Amino acid sequence: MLEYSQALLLITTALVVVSTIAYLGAFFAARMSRAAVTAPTEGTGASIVVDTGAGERTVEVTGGVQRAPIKRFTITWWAAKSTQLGLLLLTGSLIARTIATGHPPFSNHYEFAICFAWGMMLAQVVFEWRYRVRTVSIIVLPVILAMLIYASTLSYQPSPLMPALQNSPLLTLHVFTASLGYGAAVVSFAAAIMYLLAPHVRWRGWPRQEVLDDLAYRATVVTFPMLTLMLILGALWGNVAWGRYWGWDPKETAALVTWLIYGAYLHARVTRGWRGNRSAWLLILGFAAVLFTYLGNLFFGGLHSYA
Amino acid sequence: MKQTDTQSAGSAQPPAAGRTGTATASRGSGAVDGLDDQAALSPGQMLKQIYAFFYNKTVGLVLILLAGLLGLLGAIFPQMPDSARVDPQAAEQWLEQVRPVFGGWTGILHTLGAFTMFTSVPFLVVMGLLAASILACTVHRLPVIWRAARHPRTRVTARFFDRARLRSHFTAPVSAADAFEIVCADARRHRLRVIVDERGPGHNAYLDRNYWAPFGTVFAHVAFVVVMAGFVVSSLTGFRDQQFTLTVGHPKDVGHGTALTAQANSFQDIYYEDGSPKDYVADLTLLDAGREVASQQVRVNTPLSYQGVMFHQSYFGVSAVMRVVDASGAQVLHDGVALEWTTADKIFNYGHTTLPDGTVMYVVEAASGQVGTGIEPGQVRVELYQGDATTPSAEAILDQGAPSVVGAYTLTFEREQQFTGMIVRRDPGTLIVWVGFGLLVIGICMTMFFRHRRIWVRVTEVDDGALVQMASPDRRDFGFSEFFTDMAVRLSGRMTRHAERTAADA
Repeated sequence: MLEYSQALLLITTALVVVSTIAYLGAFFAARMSRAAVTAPTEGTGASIVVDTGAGERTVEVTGGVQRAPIKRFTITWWAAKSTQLGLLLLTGSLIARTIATGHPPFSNHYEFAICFAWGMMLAQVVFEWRYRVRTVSIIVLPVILAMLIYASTLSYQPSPLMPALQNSPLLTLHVFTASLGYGAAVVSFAAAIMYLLAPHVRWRGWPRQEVLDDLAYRATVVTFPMLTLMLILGALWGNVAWGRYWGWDPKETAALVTWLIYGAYLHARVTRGWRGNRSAWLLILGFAAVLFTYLGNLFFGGLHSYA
Repeated sequence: MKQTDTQSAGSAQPPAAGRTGTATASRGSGAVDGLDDQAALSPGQMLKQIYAFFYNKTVGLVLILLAGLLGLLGAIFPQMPDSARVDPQAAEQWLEQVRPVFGGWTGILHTLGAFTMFTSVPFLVVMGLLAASILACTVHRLPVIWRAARHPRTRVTARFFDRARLRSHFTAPVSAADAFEIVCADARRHRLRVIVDERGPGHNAYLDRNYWAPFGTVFAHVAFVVVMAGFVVSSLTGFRDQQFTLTVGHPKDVGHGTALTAQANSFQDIYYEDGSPKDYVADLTLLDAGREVASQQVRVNTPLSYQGVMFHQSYFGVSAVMRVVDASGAQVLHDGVALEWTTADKIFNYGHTTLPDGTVMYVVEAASGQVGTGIEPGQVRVELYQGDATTPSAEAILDQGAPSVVGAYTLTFEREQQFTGMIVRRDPGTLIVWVGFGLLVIGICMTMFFRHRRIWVRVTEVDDGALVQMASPDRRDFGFSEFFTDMAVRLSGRMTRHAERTAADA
C-alpha cells in the first residue's frame, strides 16, 4: 500500500508539472496573440431578461461579480482538470499511506510536506472554481511543485508514532487545519505577487488589481480562522500532552508570528482601509512566515522537531 | 532687567499668536516657549488623549507587528529554559553552551533579552500596550457597532442608487405600494431584517442580514485580552513542578500547599523495533491526607487530574534506591534518587537529593555501555556536599546492598529501580485561556463567516408602474452578489405575476 501511495504521489507530481506547463503555455500564447489589452473597469453591468410568461422584463444589475463562462477543452480547461485530477490522486495517496501506516499522515516532516501540498492544491482548486481566477495558478502551481519535489527528497518510510503523537483526534484536527490554512495562504501569496506585478504586465488575461486584491482577501479570510483553530487545537493538545497550553516552542512561536501577520493584514484592511501594495507586501511576509514556520524546526528543533 | 525684557518680548507678540502667551508672561509665571499652553490640559483631557492614542488604529497595527517581530526574534534565538533563567549559575552554564554559536555577541544579546525574549521587558511592555490598545479600540468601537446594528442609517440620497458598488433597478407593472409590499415580504421571507423609512421620496426600506455579526470583532478583541490575562494568571498563580520524579514503590509528597502524596505502583516502557519509545505508562495512585483519592494509568496523553492538580507523564529513567542513616541510627532517607542527568561527556548518569540537614547527596553511575569509568555495574558513587560547596565533603563508591559509612551517614545502595518523571501543576490560568479561545472562535466565525449585508430599496411611481431601485455599498462578493442579483430578478418576476393576478381578478 505504501508503494501505491508513492506511485500516486509521483503521478500527482507529473500532473502538476503538466498543469504548470499548460498554464504557462496558455499565458504566453495569450500574450503573443494580443498584447496590451486594457482590463475592463469596475462597474460592468448585466441586463437580465426575465421571462414572466406574459412578456419579458429587464433587470439591470451593476457592480455584481460575474463568473466567467467556462470554455471547455481549451488548454486552460485541461490544465484545470489536470490540477483537479492531481488533487484527487494526492488525496488517494494520503489515504493509501494512512492505511499502510495505520495512522493519519501527520507524523513527520515528509508527511506534513505532502499535507501542505495537498492543502495548497485544494485551495487552488476551490478558489479557481469559486472565483474563476486561473491566472494565480502560474504562481501557486510552481510552489506546489516545489513542495512535492521537496517531499520526494525526504524519506517516505513511515516512522512510528512517538507517544505524544498518539492523540489521533487532536493531531488530525491540528494538522488538518494547518494544511487548510497554509494552503489558502499560498493563494493569497500568489494574488499578492500578481497584484504587485500587475502594473508591469500587460498580458491578456492578467486579472485586474482589484480582483487580485479581493482574491487575496478572500484567501486570507480562510487562512486566518484556520490558523486560529490550529493554534487553539495545538494549545489544547499541548495542555494534555506536555502539561502546558503554551511553551514558546520555536515552531509554535513562529506559528503565532504568522497568525499575527495575517491578523495585522486583516486589521489594516478592515480598520485602516489598506489596499494595494502595502497589503500585498504583508501577505508576502505572511507566506514567508508560513514557510519559516514549516521549515524552521529543521534548524531550531524543539517539541515539533518531528514535523 | 531680564524680567522686563521677557515681558516686553511677550507683549510684542502678534495678537493672534501670542495672546495667551502674553497673558501668561504678564503674570510672571508662564514659560515663553509655549509649554504651559501645550500642557494646559486637565487630567480628564490627558486621559482622553491617552485613550485616543491607544484606540488609534495605526498604533494598534504597529503594536501587532512589533509583537510579531519580537516573537520572531524569540523563535530565531534559542531561549533559556526556565530552570536556568531563575538560577544565575545555571544561566551562565547555559550561556556557555550557546557561546560557540554567538561568540562575542552572547553577552550583548543576553543583556538585550534575546535569550529570554518572552519574559523580557520589551516583550512584556509591547504585549501590555497591545492589550491596552485592543481594549481601548474595542471600547471605542462598541458604541459605533451598537448604533449601526440597532439604529442603522435608513435614508440615503438618490445619488446613492446611481453610484453604489452594487445596484439594480427595474420597472414592474404594479403600483408603488404593492411593489414595496412585495419587496418587504420577500426580504422577510429570506431572513432579512426590514426597517421601513417613511420619510420618502417614494417608499423606502433598509434591509440587512447578520446585523449582529460586527459584534464578532468585539468578541475576538476581548478574547485576545482574556487569553493574555490567562497567561498572566498562569505565570503568577498555581505551581508547576517539571521534575517530579517518583521511584516505583516509593511515595512522595507533592508539596506546593497540597496534602497530596503520589505513588508509582509500577512503570512500563515499551519500544518500537527501531528502539524509539512507543509508550510509557505509570500506574499512579494519589493519596489526599493519607486517603486514596485517585488511581490511574498515566500516559503522555492521559494525565491524572485531581482537584485541579494535574499529573502529566513526562519522562522516565532509572533510580538508585538509597537508604541513609545518620550517626544516631535514625533513618533520614529511604527513597529512589532519580539518575535523570547525564554528564556532558555522556559517561555518567547522576541525580541528587537533599538530606534533612541540608547536605546535598549526589549519586553517580556509569552510563549504559560505559566501561573503565571506575564505577562498575552494581556500584554507584556518592558525593556529599555541604551548602554551596563545590568540592565534596565526603565521597565513596558503594556496592549494591553493602552499607558504608560516608561522612556522618551510613549509606546503602539497595538496588536500581525505574522512576517516572512527571510534570505536576495547578494552573488556574488555563480555564481563563479556554474562555478566551472560545470567545476568539466565536468572534472570528461571526466576523468572517456571517458578514453583515445591507441593501437599501426605494420604490417610486413611474408612468408604466413602479420603479424599484436596490443598492448596496458592500464589497465585491460572489455569494452576496448572486443573492442580490437573484433577489432583483425574483422581485421582478413576483411583481409581474402579481400584476397578472390583479388583472385576472379584475
